[in-house]
Amino acid sequence: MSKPLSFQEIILRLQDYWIDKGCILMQPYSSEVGAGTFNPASFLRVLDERPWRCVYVEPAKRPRDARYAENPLRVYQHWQMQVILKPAPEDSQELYLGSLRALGIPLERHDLRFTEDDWESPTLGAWGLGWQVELDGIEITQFTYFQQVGGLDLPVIPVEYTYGLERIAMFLQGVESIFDITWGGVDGKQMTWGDVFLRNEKDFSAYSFEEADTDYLRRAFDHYEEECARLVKKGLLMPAYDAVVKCSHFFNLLDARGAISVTERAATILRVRKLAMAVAKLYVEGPDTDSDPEGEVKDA
Amino acid sequence: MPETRTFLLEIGTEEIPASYLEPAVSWLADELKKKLDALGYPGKPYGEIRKMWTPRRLTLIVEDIPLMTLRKSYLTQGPPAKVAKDADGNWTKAAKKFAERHGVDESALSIEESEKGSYVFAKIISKEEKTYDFLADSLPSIIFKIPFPRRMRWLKYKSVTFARPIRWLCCLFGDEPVKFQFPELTPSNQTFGHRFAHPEPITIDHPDEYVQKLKDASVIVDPAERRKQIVAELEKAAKELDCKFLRNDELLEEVVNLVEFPRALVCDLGAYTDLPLPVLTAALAKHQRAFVVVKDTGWGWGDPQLTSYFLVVTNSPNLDPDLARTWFERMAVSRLEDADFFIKEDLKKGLEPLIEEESRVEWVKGIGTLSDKTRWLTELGTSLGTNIDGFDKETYIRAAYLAKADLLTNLVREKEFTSLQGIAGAIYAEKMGEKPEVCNAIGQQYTNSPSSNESAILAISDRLLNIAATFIVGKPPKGSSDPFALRRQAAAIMKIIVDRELPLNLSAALDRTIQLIGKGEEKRGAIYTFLTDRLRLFLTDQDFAYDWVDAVLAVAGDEPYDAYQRLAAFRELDKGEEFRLVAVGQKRVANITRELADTPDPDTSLFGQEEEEALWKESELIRPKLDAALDKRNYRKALELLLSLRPAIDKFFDEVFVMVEDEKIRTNRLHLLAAVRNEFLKVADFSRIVVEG
Repeated sequence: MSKPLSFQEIILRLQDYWIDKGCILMQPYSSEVGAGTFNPASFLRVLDERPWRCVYVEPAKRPRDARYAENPLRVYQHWQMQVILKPAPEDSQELYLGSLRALGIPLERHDLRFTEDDWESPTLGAWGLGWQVELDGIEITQFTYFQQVGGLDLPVIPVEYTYGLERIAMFLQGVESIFDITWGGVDGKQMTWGDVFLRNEKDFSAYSFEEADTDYLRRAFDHYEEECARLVKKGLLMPAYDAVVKCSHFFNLLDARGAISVTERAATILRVRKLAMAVAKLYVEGPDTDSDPEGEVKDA
Repeated sequence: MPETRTFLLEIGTEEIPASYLEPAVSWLADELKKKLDALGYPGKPYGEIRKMWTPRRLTLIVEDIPLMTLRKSYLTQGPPAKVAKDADGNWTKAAKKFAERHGVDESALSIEESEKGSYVFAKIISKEEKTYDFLADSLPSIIFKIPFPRRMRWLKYKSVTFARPIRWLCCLFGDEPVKFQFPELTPSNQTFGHRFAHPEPITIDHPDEYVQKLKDASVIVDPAERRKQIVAELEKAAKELDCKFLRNDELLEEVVNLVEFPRALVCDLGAYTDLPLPVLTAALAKHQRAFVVVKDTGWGWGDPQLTSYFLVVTNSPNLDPDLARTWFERMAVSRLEDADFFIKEDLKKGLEPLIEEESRVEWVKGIGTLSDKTRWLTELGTSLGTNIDGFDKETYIRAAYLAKADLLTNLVREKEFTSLQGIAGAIYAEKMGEKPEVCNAIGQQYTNSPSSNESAILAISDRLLNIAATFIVGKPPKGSSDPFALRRQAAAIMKIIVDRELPLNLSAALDRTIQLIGKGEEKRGAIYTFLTDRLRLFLTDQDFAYDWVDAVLAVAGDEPYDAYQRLAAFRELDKGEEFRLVAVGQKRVANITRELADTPDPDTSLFGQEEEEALWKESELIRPKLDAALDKRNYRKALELLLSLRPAIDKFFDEVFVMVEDEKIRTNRLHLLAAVRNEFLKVADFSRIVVEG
């Protein structure tokens, strides 16, 4: 048997596969996100009618999933490979299966299922229908036909594939812990996932559960919420969206710190969704030209 | 017999959710039946209808549909009569033009009266239509009307929605492919086999070969056959381990709808079997859709003995078991480790500290917190339990106090384990050393068949509070929408009361519930009506005739078990005919005494006929016995006593004229009848019993 693919080879194979299928290679977003969907290459680009195909990796940072590097399957930061095809092609499923074959998985000898999953991101005002793809009982991909994003019905239906790269690597490499995944090598010396990210996991676990300053996070949330609304008024789309992403991350941290009660939780999610919806509307409709930005001095 | 053909429709899709499949195909079958019934044939214009499906296809085969639809004649309206005929009674130019336009000659015209007056009508005989054309025209709209719980778009058209994308349509009428208009697809005689085993298209030459050709392509399209095969596979696998698998019908139905070609795979957990059985079963069922394997102890009773094996039903004809097993096992172990972790974490704290946290958790918005609910549960159940023999107040109070704490445990808060609410609480309570009776009540609070009175009162109180709170915040069930399953909860209340023979009074229970919640007095009427409606339904579901139920509920609607006992006495006595005769008399009495303002005993000095005297005496005679029987709730005895009055009543009506001129005597006779009726009303309002003919 040939040597199993390393983590970096999996990324490269999948990227090559999708570039070959007409995707543009994007890069992770520069701010903390909980999922690849938050990247504007997904969230904003799916909103209009223009064709769009992209592929990128995204580190998904989820404070609540942090486990001090003690759980073999759950980590603060895992890596997603995000693919968007708009419009969703007729052979969406076959194209996806092709990508698994490109990784050398003999699908007919395994059990591969498309298991019902109604995907929803309450903070992004987004939902879609599709499946979790399960390979021998492991969920390796979220496969979704987006229906609504930012509270808007989409004019063209895109398909989103979100690969859980660690899951796929563990499957291919036969290891039982994320930390044992072979990432790549430095000067011929093998590096595991743990070699690269152990410290990251430990520190961010402590931060997420113990050290994150909840008073500051609340203030920051309020601040970016106001900032977002202000920037939307000014028609400054990208910074406004950046504020949405920040609010979402602050919320995730507060949630992990247990600083948000059950009732407050729903209300806070709604606050982020309102922002996401305002930004989506701005992207689709352009700035609201009727409003008179405050303090603007008009020429006499 | 007209010439017929078999029709096949297969809607090929991407994987449709398991629970959607059967209802969708059934709807499709009914809809097509309706259309075919309208073709105008005497009898039904179709033979056997086969409903089949897999996650990737919804299939209907309808045998023996006539090749041609029937000719139909109908009238179509033209201009008014005064324009259509001239003074001499001849057809005018306008009438002739009307006939011409419809392709008929004058002989087809006639003057007919319509609602708006006289008009000329043309009799039109439709051409025979090919059933093929009829099908091709109807199918697209039928397909898009199939109802699904959730629908999605996949094309740019806003109106094209389905459960998941439709990828092919295989449609044949006999050996002829049915072509019809469909967005971005051309229906054909091609289908596809198993995604991995037979990806290439398969041509179906005739509907008769559809099932077999798919089977050759590793697709068992008939769900009943798949179910059989799954059970056989599971039995065989378990037998090879000298074990048996734990039947789980709900899971089996789901699995039938998840695979096209079932293959059981034996997996081994290794060590992880010291988890409580409900937790293990829930974890494996929810995530791996796996069946738990237990030791085959022959005819043994009691708790099944767990093994470390579990069975997964895969969808892969060319599966490599050794390759596939690894990850099923690892993922299962990881789920169970999660569960084990949650349980250990939960046990570190126990349930007690969670009770304090309940005050920070909203129960129903605008009503109160979970902590309020716990307090109300304790109080409500304590008052409900006071009249119940052998109700142990201390056990109840402890159980109610701990009852809701498990909702805040790590285990129950996890999505895959929410179904363990109650059960988890019982497991924890036991580990914390609570009395078995207390654990039992906690564990049974969400079930329909609690095994002790404390459990029963907890289960009833919980539901009463849920129902009242939901009504008070303005979210009662409406039409087919009952998002909080209040109807099911009310039905459970009735079932438990009757099963456990509890002397509970709905009015009093409801009053206490509302009093505890401290608001919603104005909704009391609506809630009470809702509860009695559910009681009525519950009783008719026990096979009591609805009119008997009405008769009993009219006088004894407040106590479900009492109403049940009365109905049971009717049934036991089995004298339907005699009761109907009583009913005839009671209806008359009810009618003629309706106007009476009050019903004092009759004045015996005004009796003029012996039949009056006799009836009064008889009824006086049975009254103390009747009251004694009712005191003991011996309804059978009570009914027998009432029936014994019948000869006297019949004689009275035969011989005595009630509505005499003399007002005094008339009123006195009415008072006599009312007094007798009042005796009957102690058991039921017989006048509500339906008398046929």
